[in-house]
Amino acid sequence: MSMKFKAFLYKLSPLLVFILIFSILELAVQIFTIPVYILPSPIASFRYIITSFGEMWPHMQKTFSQYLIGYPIGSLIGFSLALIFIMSKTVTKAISPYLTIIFCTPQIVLIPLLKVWLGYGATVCTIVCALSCFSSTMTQIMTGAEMIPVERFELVKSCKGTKLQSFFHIIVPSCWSSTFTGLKLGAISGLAGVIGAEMIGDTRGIGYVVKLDTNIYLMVEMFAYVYVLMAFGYIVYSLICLAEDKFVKQ
Amino acid sequence: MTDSIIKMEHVDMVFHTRTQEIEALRDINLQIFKHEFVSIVGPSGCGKSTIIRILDDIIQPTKGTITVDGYTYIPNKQVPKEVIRKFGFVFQNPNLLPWMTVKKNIMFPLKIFHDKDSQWEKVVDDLLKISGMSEYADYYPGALSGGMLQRVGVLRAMSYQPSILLMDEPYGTLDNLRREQLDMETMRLWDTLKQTIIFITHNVAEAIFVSDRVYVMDTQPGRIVEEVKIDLPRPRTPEVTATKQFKEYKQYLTSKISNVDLNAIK
Repeated sequence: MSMKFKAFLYKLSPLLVFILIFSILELAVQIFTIPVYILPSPIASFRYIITSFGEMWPHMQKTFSQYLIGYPIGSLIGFSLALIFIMSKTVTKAISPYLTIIFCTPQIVLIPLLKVWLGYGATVCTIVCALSCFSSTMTQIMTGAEMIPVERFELVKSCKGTKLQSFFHIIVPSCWSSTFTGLKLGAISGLAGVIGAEMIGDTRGIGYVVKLDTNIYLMVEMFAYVYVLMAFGYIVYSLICLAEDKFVKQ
Repeated sequence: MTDSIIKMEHVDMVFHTRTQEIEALRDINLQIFKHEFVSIVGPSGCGKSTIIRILDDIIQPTKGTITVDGYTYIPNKQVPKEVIRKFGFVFQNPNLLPWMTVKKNIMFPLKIFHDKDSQWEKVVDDLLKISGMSEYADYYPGALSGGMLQRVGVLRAMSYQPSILLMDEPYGTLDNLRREQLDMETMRLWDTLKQTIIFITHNVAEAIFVSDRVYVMDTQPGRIVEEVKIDLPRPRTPEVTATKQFKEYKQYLTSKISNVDLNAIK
């Protein structure tokens, strides 16, 4: 096997695994005649995506737009809070018990309450998305900051550097790696937050359609939305990984 | 060698933890002269590293007087930048910043001191050249071996041309051969750049090999128990370690350290 072919195969390997998994599923459905309400044919779901894309798009648009607003807001809040806590022990001491309470409360129980307060609009889904992802970003950055070797701060001190210099030249770059871990975890939980919020009493969006289709056993359609969601999640995650490769040089 | 550049008098250091007080140093008195190479040896935890951290104002002593090149440290007051700039600090592990290239790491102190890159670029390039590291200037630390990383750590401490180098067991994690090579390189740079070096080590042979004087420390609490002048000719080569005089120094200092260790066990 030539080196070129090996390299080509290496690059294509994720796609090949994708084809393999869906081929196995398709074959299993066909050979064992699995009922459609348990596992519909993947080909049927993919066909549905192509033929009914126009029908799916408004729901996708709603979910993705809410996510693309809520996720950056949540991440930014998480990032800012983490930096404040790293810089001030007093603020950490004062606020951390309340943040722990927020972390320990499943976001899903807040959804009905937010619906009562804010109505059945996109705002609730966006807020739930932001709430779901800010904690991942924040805790990961704070964990990263705690793990910075004390010698790095001593290096700045040995040059009579200020606290601000330590912050920008040591803390922020040292935390890049953990920031991206937090962003990746937040990307997953944020998406789960939007879908969860849509499932509880919304009238549009992927979460709403998935719940509706499952209730009336439209499994081909339901799986079509699940596949779309998987693809979207994968794209977001990959984009964060790309950004990480660019920023985190080690 | 008559001008004392560093003087520590009756320096005590007590660390306060949540539950207890730890007396790290008691009544430290030492004097270092210009262009002198002085080592401090002693068992782990005797406060060797604490001494140089106090000198570099990374931590403040509980008590005592410190004078550096005519400036006396004032308690609870930051030491001026001009005084601290006289010190270059080499850490026990290379302590390089993994997101910066070798050259950027070397220039890092200049960034903290707010010096212009252009002003120092040539100095840093020259340092890289004399240490044979020019070709690695754009490498990231992750691509370098342990010995090379430590050499970059030394170059970083030299980047702003300090007159005193504080070296905290810089080659402690390296094998004997590599350590000997780096000791030779450090002596060569010291001789070329006419610096003063305070060298922390727990290796007696290394201390004798590089030093003009050796301070021996005891532990619990950390204190100086012996000061030995090393009267070996310079420049030194590894052959000096085979001489009778070197072996005598080694035997004497080892016995002192052993006494110290035994005292610690008692």
